[in-house]
Amino acid sequence: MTPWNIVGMAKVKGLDVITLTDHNCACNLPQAMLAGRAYGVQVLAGIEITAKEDVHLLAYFADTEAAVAFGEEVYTRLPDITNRADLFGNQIIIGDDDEQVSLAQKLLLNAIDLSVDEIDAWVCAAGGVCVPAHINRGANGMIGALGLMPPLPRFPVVEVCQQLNCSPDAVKGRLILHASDAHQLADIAEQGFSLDVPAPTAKHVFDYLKQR
Amino acid sequence: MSIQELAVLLNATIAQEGEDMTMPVSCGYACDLLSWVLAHGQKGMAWTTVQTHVNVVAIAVLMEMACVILSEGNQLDMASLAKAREEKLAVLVTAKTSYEVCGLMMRAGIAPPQA
Repeated sequence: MTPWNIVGMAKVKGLDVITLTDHNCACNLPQAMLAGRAYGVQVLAGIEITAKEDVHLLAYFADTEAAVAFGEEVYTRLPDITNRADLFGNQIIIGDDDEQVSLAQKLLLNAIDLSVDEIDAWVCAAGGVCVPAHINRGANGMIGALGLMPPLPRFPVVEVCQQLNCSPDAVKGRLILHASDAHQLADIAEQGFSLDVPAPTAKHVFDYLKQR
Repeated sequence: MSIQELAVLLNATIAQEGEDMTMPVSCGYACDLLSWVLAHGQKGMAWTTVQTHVNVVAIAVLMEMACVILSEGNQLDMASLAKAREEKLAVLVTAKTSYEVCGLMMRAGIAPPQA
């Protein structure tokens, strides 16, 4: 997957707004934004952070610059363990012409040294929106890792894996998002999930999530 | 104690043979948080966990562990086992809990990892 072929696939599938949330890295966002403008797909800037409890948290930002700056901070907080491409795959950063410009060195699937609560506060302070990812899936989902969801008003927006069961109590009163969580092009969803926003733009989606 | 002997001690089935089952185990460890194991894993370690995520194999290989012990009857899926076979990582499965596994390993003289 590259930012350009992801956005291209989104265009083919008729998606209005997508987010690109690489694990612990926002380096591919600038190209994704360029692709979005070229193809006419709105791209909401984001990143998927692994908290020290191994919980995955999505963070969305109003603009690319904020997301990229945040991503750089996240990267510094990763342990100094180098990726092994033969075991975990290449961690490619794409530049112009959809070509690889560099590889992220540190193992991105690792956790940073902050807890779920600390990351939530940090994202909020940076002007972003923090959304626990796939709360109902495995050890990286908040329910599995923590045993139960922190009560409202914490985490009013959550992402739920549609293919798995999710306890109604866990999501009661919360806005539920369903994402493809695509790690391959073929997994990018068809038009299926929608939000009632004034116009199909990344900004409107961001504002909608932020005001919850 | 070798990996083979450890399997006998734990009454474990060998879901996947390692490169050398006579290889000695250097230390024992119990942890289910993969990020934690990435920080504390060691070469030659016998690691017990209930975690069955596909990354268990990759992390054990990265850390050059002796074996992974899946406790409480947990199983790796076919893709993970195939990865273990490819990487020649020993995977043991036991019905015992990680607590029991640790108790048995300690009593048999397998030490915790040295700092």
